[in-house]
Amino acid sequence: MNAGTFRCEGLETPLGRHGKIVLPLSLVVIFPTALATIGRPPFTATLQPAFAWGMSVGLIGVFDRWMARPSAAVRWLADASYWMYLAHLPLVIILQSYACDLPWPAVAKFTVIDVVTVVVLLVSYRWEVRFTPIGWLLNGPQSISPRG
Amino acid sequence: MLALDRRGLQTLLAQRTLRSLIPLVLAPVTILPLTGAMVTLAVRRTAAAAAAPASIAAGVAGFLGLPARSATDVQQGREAIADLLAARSGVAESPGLAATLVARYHSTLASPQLLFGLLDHFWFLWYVCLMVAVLTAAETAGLGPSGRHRWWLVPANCLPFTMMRWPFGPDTALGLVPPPHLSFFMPVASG
Repeated sequence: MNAGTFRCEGLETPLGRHGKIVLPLSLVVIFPTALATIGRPPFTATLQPAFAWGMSVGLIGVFDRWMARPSAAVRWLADASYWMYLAHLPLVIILQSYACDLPWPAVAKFTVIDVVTVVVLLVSYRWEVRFTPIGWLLNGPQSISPRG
Repeated sequence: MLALDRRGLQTLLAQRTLRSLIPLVLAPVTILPLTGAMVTLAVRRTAAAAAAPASIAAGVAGFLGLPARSATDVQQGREAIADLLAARSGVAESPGLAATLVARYHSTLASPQLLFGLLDHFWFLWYVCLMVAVLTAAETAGLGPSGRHRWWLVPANCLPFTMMRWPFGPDTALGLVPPPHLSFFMPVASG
């Protein structure tokens, strides 16, 4: 679908033109209905893909509308996200093992583990990855100098 | 697809080799062992936290009709038992790096993990590599995605969802051999 749409319409695809309708519809209607019908195959087979497609198309529309201009910060975050995907699991596991002893609500533990993991990995990306051979391997040559 | 159309198939292959295949190949000697070590550490921590403190064990002994002991005695007894078990099981002996590697190699070959549980969260990189291989073959044969009938892919995407094991969202497949429903789902969602 993605590749076919690109072949037909390029980057200027109008795929997300109904995003402001499709995105809230997916979040407010399709998602809760899909959750409520888990385990019922006809609903699972239609609502879950519909939610995935709706979110994809809706977010394309949102980003087309409000984030169409290139941004160095967003580009940096996008580059860092690949490193974060590769390296997050050991950190999450060890943080979970410490958090499970704490008498906190689950949401608080989840939030703290998330924030600590993201901060540690972003900092490690900035100083240990981006301007090293690992950064070159994951994200290609960098045009911005380490001091830039 | 952007890289393919703008820079050609060879550049796409070179780029995906660098960005996806090499990180995937390096994973078993970098992130995956680290993940395994963290799991071991987490399990040990959890098990240690779950064990009753020596003082509680000493108090419970009386209720069970066992001889009364102090918490210090219980702790010393636990340590003595741990030493005894380690000595008898050979845990304390190091078999050497070469022997460990050979043993791990053969246990991996004999393990169902090779098919079903090897890749951990790197499974997605493996699927990217597989899809690039399929796209390369399709483009070479002139059968690459044209997008003309792409809207059929939306309902087609519903079919593999009838076979998903997980209650919500697509399955993840951690082994090297992709299950048929995911082999259908991934290209349909991407292609």
